[in-house]
Amino acid sequence: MSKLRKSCRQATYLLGKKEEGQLTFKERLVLALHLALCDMCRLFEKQLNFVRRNAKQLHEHTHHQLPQQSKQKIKAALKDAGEGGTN
Amino acid sequence: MEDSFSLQPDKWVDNYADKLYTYAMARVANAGAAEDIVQETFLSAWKARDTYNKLASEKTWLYVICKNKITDYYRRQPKFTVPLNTGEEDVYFDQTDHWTESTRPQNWPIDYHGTMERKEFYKILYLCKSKLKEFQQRVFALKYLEELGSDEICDTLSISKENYWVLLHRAKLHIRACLEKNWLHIK
Repeated sequence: MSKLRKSCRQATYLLGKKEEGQLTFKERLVLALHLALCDMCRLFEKQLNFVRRNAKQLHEHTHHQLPQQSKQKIKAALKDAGEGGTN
Repeated sequence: MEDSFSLQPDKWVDNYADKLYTYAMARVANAGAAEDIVQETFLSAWKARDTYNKLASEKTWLYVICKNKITDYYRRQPKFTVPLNTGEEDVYFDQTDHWTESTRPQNWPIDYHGTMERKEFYKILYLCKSKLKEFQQRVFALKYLEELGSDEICDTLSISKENYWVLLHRAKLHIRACLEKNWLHIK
């Protein structure tokens, strides 16, 4: 128990379970105690929460181009499927 | 408003191929798979065009199909077990399992709840995600992009809860350190 209390490795691991409400009673205690004493692990939690709130829009702020060859292939496939391409 | 919620399959590739590809690239670890997913999305959409009910925009409808294709892709992947004792976390912690002097989280000079220069953040986030091992990328995508819970993620990836917590822990450690270094240029 006293070993766990001191472990940043264990605390950062438990934070994943905390987000899902899946800590056991003992784990909850260990983690709360650790976070109360460790500003680095509190920062870790805060920063990962920041990532969690913002990551979802990743595809709206990055841009990848489907290779031209792929586009032609898909167009051809759609045309085949539709016997003319339009409905 | 007429035609705003109708399908124009002949324009799909020109209008949406890059968008769906970008969406898939954020979620799967390799470009070939992302290409296949986009192709499957359009072909499935074409086959299902009669079921389009005009309740959502064409774009939203295509994204939903794409999302399902991505989940299918994950489910098709060979099952795996995560090696638990690889020591992958060791670089972050010292012998007593504390942060090391060089890996301890630093203060980020950002407003955690405010607006920010997004373009750079997302560019680096994509880079950091791409540097993760493939299994960790899947966990990252399903938790942080798809916002699924642990039960659904374990089911989709056919992994145990124990493996999931370990993968998540590693992904978080790597992503955080990578952002700190490459986005915020700290130390």
